[in-house]
Amino acid sequence: MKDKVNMNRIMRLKNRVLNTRPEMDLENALILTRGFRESEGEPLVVQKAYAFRKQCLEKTVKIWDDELIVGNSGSKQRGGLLCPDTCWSVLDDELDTISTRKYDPFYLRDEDREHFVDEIRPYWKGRSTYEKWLCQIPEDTRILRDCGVLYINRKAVRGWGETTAGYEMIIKEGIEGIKRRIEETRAALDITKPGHYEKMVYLRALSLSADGVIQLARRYSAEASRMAENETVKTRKEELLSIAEICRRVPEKPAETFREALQSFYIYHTCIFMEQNAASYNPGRMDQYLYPFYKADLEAGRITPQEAQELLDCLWVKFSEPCLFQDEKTAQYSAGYPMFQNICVGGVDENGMDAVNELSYMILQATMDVQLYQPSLSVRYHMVRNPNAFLKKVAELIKLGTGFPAFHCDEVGIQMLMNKGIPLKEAYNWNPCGCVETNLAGKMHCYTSYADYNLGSVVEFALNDGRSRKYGIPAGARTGNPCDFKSFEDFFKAVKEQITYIIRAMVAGNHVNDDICLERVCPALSLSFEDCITKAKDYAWGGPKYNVGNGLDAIGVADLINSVYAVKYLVYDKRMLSMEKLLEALEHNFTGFEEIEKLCLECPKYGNDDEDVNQLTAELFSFIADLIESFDSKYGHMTAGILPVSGNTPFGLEVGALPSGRKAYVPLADGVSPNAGTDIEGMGAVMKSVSFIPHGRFSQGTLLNLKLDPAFNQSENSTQSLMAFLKSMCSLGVFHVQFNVIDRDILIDAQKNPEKHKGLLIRVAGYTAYFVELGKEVQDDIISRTAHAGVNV
Amino acid sequence: MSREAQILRIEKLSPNDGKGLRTVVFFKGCPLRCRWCSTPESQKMEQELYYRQAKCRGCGKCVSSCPQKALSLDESANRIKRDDNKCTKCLICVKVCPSNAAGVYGQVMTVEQVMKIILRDEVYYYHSGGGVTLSGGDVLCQAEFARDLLSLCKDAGIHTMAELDMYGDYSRIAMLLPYLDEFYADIKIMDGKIHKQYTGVDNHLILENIKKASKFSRPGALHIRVPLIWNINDNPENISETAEYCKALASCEELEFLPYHRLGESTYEYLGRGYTMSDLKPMTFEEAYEKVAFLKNFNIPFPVKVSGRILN
Repeated sequence: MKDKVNMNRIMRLKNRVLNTRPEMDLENALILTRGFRESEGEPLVVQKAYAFRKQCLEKTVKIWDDELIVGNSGSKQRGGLLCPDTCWSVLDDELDTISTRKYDPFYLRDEDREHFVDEIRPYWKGRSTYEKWLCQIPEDTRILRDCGVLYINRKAVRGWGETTAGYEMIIKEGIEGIKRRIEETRAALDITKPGHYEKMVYLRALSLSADGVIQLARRYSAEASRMAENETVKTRKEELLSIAEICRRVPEKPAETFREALQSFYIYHTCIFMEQNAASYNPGRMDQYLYPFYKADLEAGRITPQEAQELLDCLWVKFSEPCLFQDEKTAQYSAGYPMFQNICVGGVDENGMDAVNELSYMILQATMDVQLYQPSLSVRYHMVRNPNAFLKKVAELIKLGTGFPAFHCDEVGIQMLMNKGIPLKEAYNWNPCGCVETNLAGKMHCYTSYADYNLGSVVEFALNDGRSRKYGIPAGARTGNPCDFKSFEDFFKAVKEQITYIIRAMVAGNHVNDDICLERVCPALSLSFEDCITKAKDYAWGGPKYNVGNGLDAIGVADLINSVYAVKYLVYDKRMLSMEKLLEALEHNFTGFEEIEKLCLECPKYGNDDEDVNQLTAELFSFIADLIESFDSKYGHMTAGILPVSGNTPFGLEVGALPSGRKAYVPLADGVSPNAGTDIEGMGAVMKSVSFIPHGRFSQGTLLNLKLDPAFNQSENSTQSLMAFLKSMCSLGVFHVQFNVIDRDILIDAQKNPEKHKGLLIRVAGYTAYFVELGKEVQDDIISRTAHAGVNV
Repeated sequence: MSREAQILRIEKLSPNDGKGLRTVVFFKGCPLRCRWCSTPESQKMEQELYYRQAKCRGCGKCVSSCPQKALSLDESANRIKRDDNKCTKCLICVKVCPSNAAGVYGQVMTVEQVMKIILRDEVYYYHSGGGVTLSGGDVLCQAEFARDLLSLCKDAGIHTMAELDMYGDYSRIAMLLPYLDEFYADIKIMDGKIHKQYTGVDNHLILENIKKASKFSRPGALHIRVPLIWNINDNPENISETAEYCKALASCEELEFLPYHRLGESTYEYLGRGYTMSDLKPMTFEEAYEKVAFLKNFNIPFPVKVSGRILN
């Protein structure tokens, strides 16, 4: 772009968001409760739709200074919403502490507290999803959950999320088009036929929700008009008048301009949050569905690239307004009010051709301009189809050190969708969802990340006859005394049995949850799923075109590989250590067993491109993928993923010392990344090692965090080097990578905790050294020459 | 029996040692003793023990395990002392040290072992236009090994480079040239006397060898590199003399200056050697650039660079 956007407005918008304290926002819950009361006797789905419409009619509608794109799910700019129909107790437990807790506090006003105690809690007590789950959870699953082996409550605590609405349909057809579709379905129904009454009921719910969305937009229009009347500054008055005009039209009518498309999108986006608060409602492929509007505007001379960029930037700030309300413990490990609104650019179109357009670049630019934590920005990179210039822009953004974008190999993403049962033609249109999961806009129903399982516990159980070290009780399979294992194969069999036992317990929990979730209806979300309308079947009932078995996520990948390998290498192959001695050392957390600890730590480790370790990696993770896919569910076979957002930390606190040399009760490795400090061959070797996981089969995504070697950030040609590295990654079939740029803070940490950063390289021409091995003075010098990088939360 | 060599280490994915992303094989052993050497652990041909006091817990395990009684714990200084006359380099101390304070530089490797590691990164060479760089130490000291290795690389279609000190019999250089797509030749100082003073050897042979190699190597193969050291070779006379020398060569692809750094300083300490340059500050890119900038007016027919960036 020739002329840069005037950033003053964007900075003012951004600063207001950054300076606004997140609050609990219970207006939404209160209206919901009253809506349910008023509609008692109606079918559940009609009650839900009625209450949603009531939220649209009664919620506080605010437009803030400088805004060009308007809308907000709550009554406060940065509010945490509570969905009491799903779970009210999560707030009940923290009524006195939520305002002041250390991680992600939400200020709770007295009047909100009163509403909760007097009206919300009494109504929902005994009716929420969470209570049903706690009552119905299978016993084995409960024990594993309580021993920190499974993290499985979360889907009963929040709304659906983990989905990509059909925004394109909303924008293109408008709600009026959707209403026509509803009428078409209704016209074919006959109440005297069995099952048709049910459908009629459902269509009534859809109509109520559709009307709610329209009414909400009109209220924004009215508010903008009112403000314009009182506005004295001429330019702002005009801006308000155009907001009024736009919100009068969309999302009811099909959008006719780029700005209308953005506004239509955002109103609907806030609506699905209002209906069910959850993380991971994903805007998806914005560069695709917005492009026709941008192009038409440009050709008609209605907009300049600068104006379009400014609008995008304005929208980008909006994405940081909503705040995920989660319980204290969860917040501790994934702080930052993470909403995981994942936007994606690049990739291929429905013909498998290059889909990169000007808007792809402008969306990357919006993230560079705004530099906030949200939206999550993802890139689909297709090595053959996407141009080098696009990869270059991506590399430059990576080097900025914001942690964005998440980089995905497009071919593997397409494979993943096909492995979920989607035909290739539609798989071309996949989008990253939440963290690194895979999704299909307006067509797919699935919990992409239903629950997590702890692979550290797997090893512990195999070496402890199924007992949890921390809790001292049997929780896993009884696989016998490891000293009786005659060979590595015996031990390996025990490991596999433990994995099988744990996965079975998760699947059992999943089926209970699938049943409970039939009552978690969401007609407003379903409006943008074509098949929900034609089948008159809610998203929650499996209405979308494709229903996929939920995702089960592995945590502690490197811990499993390194521990199994250490046992193989030390106990069976090299016979350097007896099983008895190893067990004793683990029991004592290596205290007094430093020589054994050293042996364990010096075993070949995952992340260094070691041939034998690579082979074990491939074998273990093919086994896990086979196992998970062998289980069926109401919605097709279960699916595998590896995406601990930050679950590796709390899971680590549940696991004792491991043969990998990892001490008791410290974090496990994250995603598919190596254990901290064990990758000493550089990021090329890490990528090679990671490639031995069969990524395409972990169809809910795999997550790799990589420290960007400073030579790929600072030296001449570093952009070229990084581009070549990313292409290599795609050749290797690795799905995702996200980079941490080595900044001053990381170097200072490395100085203090050298064992965590053993692989950090300092390179200049003809010279390489590990940072942690340099003298303090030299380290200080390097630190002083390294810039801070960071992103605002 | 496959040929063996003393290898210091193998670095992967280096973006600074030639085209693209490269695997750099550091040879051990060097006839020069440049005072600014940033890789002193590469100088001696044989394996060397090191000791990092900062990591030492003073547990004394190495002292009690040493069969030669070559080690003692100096409690006042909280460090281990080694009597090199007694030490037989059995490496038991390295094995028992719980904190990895004791270690060893160098290992004997076969051509096949090194090749296996090189082949692991083919995908990176392919996408970056990279390959293998032999470095050191001095590659020429173990020229037969280098030739065998480079020949295997060429068979595998891998781009090859080397960083050569060009000191020694020309036949050893000639042995490698057919297998080298490109190479860096180091020129430290043009004045013979000063060269000898700071590197321990005369530069006559080096300059002659470079001249010869420039005639017989592939076109575009020869790159000249100069480490720029405060008050030793950073004066305009030496810089211009170096440039004139390069201009007179039969072929020269580029002339690159690398500013002095002292990242290797700690290694001297680990080896129990003194670092004689500790009063020198690292040279910044800008400082180096300023010193070299006047070459712009020299009508040099090939690019002159500082740390990879072309003078403009």
